[in-house]
Amino acid sequence: MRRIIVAVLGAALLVVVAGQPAAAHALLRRSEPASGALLQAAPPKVVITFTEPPDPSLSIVHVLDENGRDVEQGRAEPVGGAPLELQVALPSLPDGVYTVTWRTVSKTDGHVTGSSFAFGVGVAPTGAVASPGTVLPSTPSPSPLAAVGRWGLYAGLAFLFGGAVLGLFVFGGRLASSVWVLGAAWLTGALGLVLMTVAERWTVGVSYGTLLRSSAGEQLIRQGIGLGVVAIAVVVVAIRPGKPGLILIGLAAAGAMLLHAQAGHAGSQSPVWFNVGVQWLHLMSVGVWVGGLAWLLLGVRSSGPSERAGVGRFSFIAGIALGVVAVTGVVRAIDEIGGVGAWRRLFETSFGVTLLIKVGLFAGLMALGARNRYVNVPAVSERGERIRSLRRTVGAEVALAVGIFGVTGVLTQLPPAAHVAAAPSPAPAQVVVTGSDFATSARVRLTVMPGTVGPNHFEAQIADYDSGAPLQAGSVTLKFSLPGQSELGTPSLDLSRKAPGVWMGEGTPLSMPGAWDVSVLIQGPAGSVVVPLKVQTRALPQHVEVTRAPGQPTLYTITLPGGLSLQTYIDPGTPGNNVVHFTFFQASGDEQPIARATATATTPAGHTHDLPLIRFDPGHFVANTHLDEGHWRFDIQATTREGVPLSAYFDQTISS
Amino acid sequence: MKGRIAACVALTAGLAAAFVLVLSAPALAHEERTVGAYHFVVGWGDEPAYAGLKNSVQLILSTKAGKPVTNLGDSLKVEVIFGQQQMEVPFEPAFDPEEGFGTLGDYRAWLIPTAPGTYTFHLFGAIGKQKVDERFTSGPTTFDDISDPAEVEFPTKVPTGTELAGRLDREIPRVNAAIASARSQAEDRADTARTLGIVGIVIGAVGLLLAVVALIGSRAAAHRSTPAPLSVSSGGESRN
Repeated sequence: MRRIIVAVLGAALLVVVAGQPAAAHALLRRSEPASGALLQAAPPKVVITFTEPPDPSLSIVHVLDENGRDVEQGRAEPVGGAPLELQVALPSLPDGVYTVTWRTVSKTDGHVTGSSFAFGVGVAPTGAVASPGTVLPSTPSPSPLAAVGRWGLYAGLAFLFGGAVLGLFVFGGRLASSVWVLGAAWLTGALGLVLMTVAERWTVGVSYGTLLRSSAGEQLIRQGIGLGVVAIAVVVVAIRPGKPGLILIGLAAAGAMLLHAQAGHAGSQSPVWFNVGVQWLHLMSVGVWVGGLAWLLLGVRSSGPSERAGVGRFSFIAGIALGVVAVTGVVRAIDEIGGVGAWRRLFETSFGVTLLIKVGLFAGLMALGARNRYVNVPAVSERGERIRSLRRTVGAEVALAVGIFGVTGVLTQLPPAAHVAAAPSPAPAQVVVTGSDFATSARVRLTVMPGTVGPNHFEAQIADYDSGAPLQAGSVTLKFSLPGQSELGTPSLDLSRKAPGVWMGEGTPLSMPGAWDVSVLIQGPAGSVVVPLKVQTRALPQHVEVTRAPGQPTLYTITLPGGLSLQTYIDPGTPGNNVVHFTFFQASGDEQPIARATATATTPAGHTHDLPLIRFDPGHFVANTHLDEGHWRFDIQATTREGVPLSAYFDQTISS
Repeated sequence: MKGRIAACVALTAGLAAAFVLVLSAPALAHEERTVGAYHFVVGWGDEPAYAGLKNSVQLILSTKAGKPVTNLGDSLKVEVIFGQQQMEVPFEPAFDPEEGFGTLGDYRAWLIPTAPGTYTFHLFGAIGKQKVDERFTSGPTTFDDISDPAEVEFPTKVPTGTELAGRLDREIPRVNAAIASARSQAEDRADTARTLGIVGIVIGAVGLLLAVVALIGSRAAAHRSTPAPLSVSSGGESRN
């Protein structure tokens, strides 16, 4: 029977741990323009949608040009009727790559997140601060100060609530220890709240006035008021010890726990009353169990009759508390993880891994608890023996519980696994271009995945220019041409209709790297329109070795397929006239004869132009060119005498 | 020796046959089809074909045996179809046997295709006693679609007439809407100004009225408050 009970308690432990309170974060769900988008015309604004409502007064959205200058107009503003969105207006932007950096504070729980992404206007956002489709880490590392603060708040409130419950139901209406212990517990909680406020202010980077006027500040103030009421209750107990004072402390501590539950993630999930209620019960039952253990340690010093009876009563109450913790924990865990079927997130997210660490600590706590429940408590309550063993074990339990509160402090700063899943994983590699026809009758948004040379998936969204409604069409055809490469012809691709205004197709018309002209021919019942677009193929990652020597140009050695390599350098690599060298080598170290080669240079402003190549040797080409200060990209496409196509690129910052 | 001669003869014959085949093949992308006793070669007269430029439906008609048909008359017609629109165009011979001009059997139906895209030529009627009802549709395996001329325009891309007309069709309602909106705003402002003016006049009139009433009242009050002439008694006589 005991083994069964131990097994049940062990199972309960697992769900309890999974159900520890976890806060949420306003992570990026999507943006317009999208990360990595290549637009034909500048957007009038940037709109970002988050997984939780952001606090506009504490949120920042900057749009930076290639020189790092802010180009946005005004502060980030909320979007009417869309509480999850923030928008920032833009002026008429010239062609170029723009980086959107954002930092926001969740209105729900005050947690800070930030990230950046890039989009291009007329220029593919390659080589920008954030590569196309790249979303930088958006959740800052947990703040040690905030973790300590939360530890203090949890520990203080649990100790206060546990003290009141044990005083009323275990120790006959009196405190198990001095009232000064209550004061210390309150001080721990209050100090925790202060540290949380300081940490929040440091993280957000605003004045205390601004912080306290925000929704996050309001929640901190509410919790402060709750702790103030608890302080009054502690003073009452100090003046007039007894049951009324303990009831008052219990109610005040429970109220403070309710305010804390409301300020967390549970307060934003529907039905709010249910989620907050479950979270509140969870906090209170943890207070009875873990806080009660500490009071037991203080109150049971001998094996007198009252102590023996008290130990038995606490064992009974702790069992009930453990049951409540288990049930509420299951409910909260299912919510935070994102459903029973999402258990893998325990292993795939920081939140889940931290939970598992906590499982280990809690397993130790449960083992100690089981030893007390089935060995020490019966001995103490029935025979008055093993009191020292009980105290030692309870002391170890309390120490372990203190550690668990610390882990909880870290856990609550991590985005719950369910929210991480709701936020987009790094956007799929793709090229997105938009445009319209001369007659301004149609708008086209063309998505090319993966956007590299070779097979691609094409999706064209076609809408009326004015209304944005899907445009009726009989057929949609893409026609491709690469300027300067007439030998490639003009391959075309017929798309199939998949939904109103959505046409898709797959093919390999992008046969070489470069900026392709793509004509979208939309044929309707009464006429046709042509929307010209420019699709810059994405460069695949390549292995580059960079060799720098004093007084020498920087040498780039790029590994190519088939054991070939390209060595390239710019001489002298300073603003002014330069010579760009490209030399192809075989694996043996001999020069690789090249049949033909073309090269382009992309200016710091993002404009691409041809580099006229002069052949020096069978595999050695040079280009004389004038380079201004800034970050340049050089692309070369070549074909060996055996007909093998090669392409490579490298970036270099030209500076004096 | 005989073998070499035979090889030379065979090579010469082969080259000659290839030469004839190359020359007899249509120079442009056209669709060929044999229907009954006749062989049809159909496509655009000028290829690549661009929107907005004069072009023609070209029909090179011959018998199955390869003899050009020169007496088609007006019994065969072509209907050019684009989307849900269609237009009938007559065939004209593009040759003159007497002058020795053109290719025998080459007939043209002239038109200016104004929209890029896929076109269908519906040939119907009769050639001699043979009825004809055939459709030829442009495409990658037949003859060229009509292309956007912007592909080959240099140095400046010039919109086609259709694009300009489309732009006008789009812009005119926008301009009208903008004018209507501006007019509505102006009328609203005028109404507001008129209302404010009326309110101002009313307030002014009321103020004036109040001023008059106040003036009259003050005068009346002044009149009432003017002290009566003192009566001075002197020796029991009054001055009045």
